[in-house]
Amino acid sequence: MRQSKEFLVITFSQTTDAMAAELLFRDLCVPGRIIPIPRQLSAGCGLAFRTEMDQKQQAQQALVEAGIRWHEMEPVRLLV
Amino acid sequence: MIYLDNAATTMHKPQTVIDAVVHAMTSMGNASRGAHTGALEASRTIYETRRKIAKLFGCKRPDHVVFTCNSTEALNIAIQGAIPAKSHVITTDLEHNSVLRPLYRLKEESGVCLDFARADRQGRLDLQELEGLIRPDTKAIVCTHMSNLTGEIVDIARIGRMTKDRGILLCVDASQSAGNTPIDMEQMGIDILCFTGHKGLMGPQGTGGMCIREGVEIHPLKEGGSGVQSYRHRQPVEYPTRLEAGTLNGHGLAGLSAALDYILETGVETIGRKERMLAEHFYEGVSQIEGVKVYGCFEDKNRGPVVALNVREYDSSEVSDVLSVDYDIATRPGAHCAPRMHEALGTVDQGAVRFSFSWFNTVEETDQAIEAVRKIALA
Ligand SMILES: Cc1ncc(COP(=O)(O)O)c(C=O)c1O
Repeated sequence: MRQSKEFLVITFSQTTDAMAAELLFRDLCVPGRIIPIPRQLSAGCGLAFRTEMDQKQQAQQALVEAGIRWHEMEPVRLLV
Repeated sequence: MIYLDNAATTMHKPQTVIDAVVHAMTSMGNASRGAHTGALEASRTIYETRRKIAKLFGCKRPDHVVFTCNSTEALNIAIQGAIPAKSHVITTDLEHNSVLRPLYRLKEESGVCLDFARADRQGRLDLQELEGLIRPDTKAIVCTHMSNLTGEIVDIARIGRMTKDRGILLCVDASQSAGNTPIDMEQMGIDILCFTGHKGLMGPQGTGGMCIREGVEIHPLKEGGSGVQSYRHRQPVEYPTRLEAGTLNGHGLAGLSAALDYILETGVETIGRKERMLAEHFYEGVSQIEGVKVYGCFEDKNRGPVVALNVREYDSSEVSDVLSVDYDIATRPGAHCAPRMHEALGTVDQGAVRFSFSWFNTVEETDQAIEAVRKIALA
């Protein structure tokens, strides 16, 4: 079986918010990248931001300060 | 990148399309707004585009070709503008949200009664069942020509024979089939044909439209500038102006015009044959891999160039992500804006990874995609 690993996954209710978060995280050097939304968090389609588990506080604070809405921020095991 | 997401939009366009857009952006005025050289060039280019669309789809009148920014807009105009309140409408499980949502809205806001022709586990419709849904108060059948999820083709001509003598409006979503499957509105009995310019038609995004059969009345969704009859209070009643308030995407339509030249010269059959060959080759490769489940019915060779699958119990999003990051292969995961089809196929939870092929894909690319799926599926 392929290996998997736990990531912190942040979901958004629309793509515009995901794009804003991507820019913000790039500016603040929060590691990670955009992925398709995993089914554990939403059946359907859309984008999410995947980062390392230890980034939770920084990511959350950055989003709040920038006024970017997110939907969920959860640990998810993903294929690597 | 190996681009296999052509059902979402074609990324490789003929060079002539790109050149036409660049040329238009340096020479076009506003169509139907004045008579200087630039404005006339825009008017002429757009009229030529109407003629080519009419030719491609067997629409008798170029002035009944209306341009919109995509098929979603065309479907909204058609569904909201041609279906009377409180009437009965039939649609299918295969539909995209651009059909479903405007219909659900009519149901909620205008008392329209909606019935669905069901898809089986392989995503096929039973047209006899569909015919059985017709009632005396049925006013419209809205149906896709080709499923964006499985590539299933619906026998529109057969539905056209059901609607013709009953005075039922037949509105067809040709978003996936336009450019790869022959369409003849007259022969197929289509009243309104909605298309998008950026998929199989190989044009720029922001182009699309509808072909309207003579005598079909559609109430405009928008009112506004038209460049003609300026002192009238309301939108002119003549097509296409009736449904085209505001400046058209002339630059995009110039590109679509060049794309239509390319398609008409190459031939829809030729393009479709190659795309189907690639999809079939891919299907044959992946369907033999242990742990791969392909959706849809492949016994019928007359199908769209789309193959949707899942690998083991993996989330389709993760598989698509691995394909992108590790193999540089572009596919689409998740739900494909076709919720009822996912219910029929049993893929609501897992979604599906969709591989969709275009005229510009090659057998080598297809082989690489098969190999990537094989590696991902390795236990
Ligand atoms: C079957 C079908 N209908 C409608 C659409 C909507 O096309 P557009 O987004 O260009 O309006 C699509 C494309 O996603 C489709 O696949």
